[in-house]
Amino acid sequence: MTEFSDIFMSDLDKNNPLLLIEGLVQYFPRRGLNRREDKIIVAVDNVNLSVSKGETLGLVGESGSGKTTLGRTILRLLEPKSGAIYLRGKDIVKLNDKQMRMLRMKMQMVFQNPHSSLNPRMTAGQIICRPLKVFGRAKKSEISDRVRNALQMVGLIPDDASKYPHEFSGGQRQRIGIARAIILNPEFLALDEPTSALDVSVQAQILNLLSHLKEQFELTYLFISHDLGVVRHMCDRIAVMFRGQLLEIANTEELLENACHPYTRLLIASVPTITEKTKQKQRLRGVHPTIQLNGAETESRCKFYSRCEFRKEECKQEEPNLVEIENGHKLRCHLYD
Amino acid sequence: MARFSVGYLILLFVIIIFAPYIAPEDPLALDLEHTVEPPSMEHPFGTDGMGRCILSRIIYGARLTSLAGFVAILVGMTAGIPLGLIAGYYRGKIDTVIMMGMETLMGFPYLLLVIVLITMLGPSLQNAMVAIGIWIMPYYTRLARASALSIKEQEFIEAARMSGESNFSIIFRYLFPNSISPIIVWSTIYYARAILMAAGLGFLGLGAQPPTPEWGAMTAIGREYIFLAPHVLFFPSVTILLTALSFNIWGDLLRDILDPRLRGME
Amino acid sequence: MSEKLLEIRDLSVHFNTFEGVAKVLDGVCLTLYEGEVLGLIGESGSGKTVTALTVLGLLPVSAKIVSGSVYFHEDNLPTLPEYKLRNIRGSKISLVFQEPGTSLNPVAKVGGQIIDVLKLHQEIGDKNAGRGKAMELLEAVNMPRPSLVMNQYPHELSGGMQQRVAIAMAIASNPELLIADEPTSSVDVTVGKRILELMIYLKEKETISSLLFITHSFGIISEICDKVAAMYAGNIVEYGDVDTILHKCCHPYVKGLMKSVLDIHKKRSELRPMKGTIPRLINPPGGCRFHPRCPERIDKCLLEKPNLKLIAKNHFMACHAYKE
Repeated sequence: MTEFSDIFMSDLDKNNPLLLIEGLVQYFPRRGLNRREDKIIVAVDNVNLSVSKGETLGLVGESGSGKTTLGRTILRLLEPKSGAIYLRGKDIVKLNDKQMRMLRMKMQMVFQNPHSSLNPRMTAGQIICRPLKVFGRAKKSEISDRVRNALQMVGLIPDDASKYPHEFSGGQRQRIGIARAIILNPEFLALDEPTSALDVSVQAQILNLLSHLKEQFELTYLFISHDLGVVRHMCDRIAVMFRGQLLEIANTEELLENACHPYTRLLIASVPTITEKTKQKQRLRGVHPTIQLNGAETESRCKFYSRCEFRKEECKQEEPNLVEIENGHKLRCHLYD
Repeated sequence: MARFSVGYLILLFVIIIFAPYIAPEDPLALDLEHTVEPPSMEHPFGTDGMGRCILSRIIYGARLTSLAGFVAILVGMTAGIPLGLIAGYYRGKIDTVIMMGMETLMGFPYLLLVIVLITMLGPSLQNAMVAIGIWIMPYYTRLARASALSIKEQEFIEAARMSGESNFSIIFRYLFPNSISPIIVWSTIYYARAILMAAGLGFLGLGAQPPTPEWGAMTAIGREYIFLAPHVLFFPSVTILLTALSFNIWGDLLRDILDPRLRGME
Repeated sequence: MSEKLLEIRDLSVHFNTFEGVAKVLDGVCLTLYEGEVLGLIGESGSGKTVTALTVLGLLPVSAKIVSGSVYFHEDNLPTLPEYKLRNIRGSKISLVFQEPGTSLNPVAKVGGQIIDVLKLHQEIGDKNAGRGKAMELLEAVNMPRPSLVMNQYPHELSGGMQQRVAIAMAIASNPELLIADEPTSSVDVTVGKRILELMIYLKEKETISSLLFITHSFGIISEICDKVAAMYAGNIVEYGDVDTILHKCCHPYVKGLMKSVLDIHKKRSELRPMKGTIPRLINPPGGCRFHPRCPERIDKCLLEKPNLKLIAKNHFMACHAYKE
């Protein structure tokens, strides 16, 4: 117990983030048809990241960026191949199974797919109270009260406790998933595309709920998404990920107004947006692409090289490092060296 | 066809439950003055070599045979399902070892396997049930393993791990309840096989022993009278045939009803 | 004034489901003029995909057109015999689906599939002519290295490239109307942008004449559409020019949606989501289907279904609560 409780002793401030990730690496072997085709897919390539207490950090990327894998590795749902994850200053990678299980009370996850993230054979009440039972955090008499409480907190009614997941809509299922994640009063919540599978109007409800809960319980969020509009609304800072690397990190407003990395700028420009009435005539004009960019992958250069409009010779030779160019604004690009 | 088989099975079910009330006579009661009598008003199915009423023996035999099949399935399930779930969940060496064992079992010609087991255990209805159970076990293992493989990729399993659930708890509370559907469907089919096998063993004298009124054993006895009094052979063997056939048709029906709907509901 | 190309009048479609009859479309009225891009926006369960399938006669067996008509030029499509529909489907009206992976045959090479489509609707001279035309189509959709792609299987292509193949097959016969059902929803946003650009380009070049673009994104509507119709639970609730609907919408549902949209270029201090959820279509609410959630409802809304009415120039809305 001592090793576990001293995790919660340290003070946190700007220089002492709640979560500090150093050199995190995750890869998957990929079997080809014969031995020669065996590859390694590096999903998380030496990532350094910090999350301060009380903030919402957005992690943005497209498919193949590794953002989902990063989220799962941080929570040790996947074992990191190397690197350190410091929660309140203590490296959780070094914890054994038993200690790690205890830590689950403090670090939780909300999953993307409302249709497959709940056990179809358990009622909502059972799903929500499992964490309580597993950790023995409540006496038998308290459990139904705690469950009722949790349901109300996420906008459901006590009667819903006896219903099965298939009796709920997508939005309601996400609420159940959220209730499950917060019932043990965690400190840190990783949200993996929590609203991507929901309609716009339901998404708004769930995002409001998440903001509300964050305030009420002083939570810290890692918000993983591909939707820049949502990330803008929810997050204080945004980290942009591409093929396993962080390319740019900055405060939300700063990133959206002064994006530096060509990929970030491409992302922002690609989002379909409601244009102002006066600018309607200048909207997206059909473009016959002249830039056919392709190029084989090799180790030692910028991963975005093959799609970058602004690439230089340097970009081919050497991989840029993630450096702080301004207060809090980090960038991995040779253009700004 | 489907209606006939469902009707037959319902009839069978009724017979099994109400056997003592339906059967005209005690199946074990000897009546040496009326041996091998053809079907008549008094004995609708006739009597056998010991003067016992064949109809009554078939009615009580229904209980025995169905019970035998049921226990055999139970044995197979209890052993096979946990093994399959464990193999599918853990994969790796555990999976390889378990599946190698199961495939070895399945590799034996089934009759040979069962006979060898009975020979080791001794011929009796109870041992037949165990032997058949052991034969059925690998099929359940395969089923459970396939379920485990597909279910464990779903997000709610990851969520369970996030909630701190132990592996045992995940297998028991999450994998198992979600594997039940295919298991139920296939059980009716395995049940049919088990019943046939029990009757077969009875026929060979390796299962139920006389004077137990088990259909297979009755068929064996009936062989002696095949030319003299064919009804002694006819009734038990046709009953076995109809029962196995009905279960098979029912199994197909069940698969058709459940599968598309399951898929539709997803 | 352009001609009406597609006119859907009072279309009602019911589905037989395990739990009862789902009244998926409830008197849909929609008009698409020649040469325009009409956006159809709605959330899940609104019926937008079912509308597209009805136009093409591709409804499943469990669905029935209960009333209404779908006029393409002078033909009422649901009344046409199958062989006539087949002549229209794929040649005069084509469809691009949401999932590029499933709309392509996984065991046939890309080139072959395009040639098959060409053969169905046009006279192709010989094998080489077919390949030539297929190559042209791939170039028309800005496919990189078209000669290589011709010999590849769909799974060897990325999602964006698969979608381009699907578009190539859809435009093979120079259709009068192209229906695109959320073509960018299952690809990355950067890829989606290229697809959108492609479609605008094809429209400008008049390879595509008219376009019905189904989506759930107002941003896309703003980028590509001339007019937009908003759908809710099987009804068209508002319809008009893109400018009007995006900036001066009137229907309570559309207003609510606009308040929930998170546009990347607009900072929103607070989200004010609508209450409630989309109704079940087996026993939908009586009168106006939106009334249980509507902040502006009046008594009439519970009893009588509102019809689309002209409320301003080129602006239609179906709502009882509208005041001048």
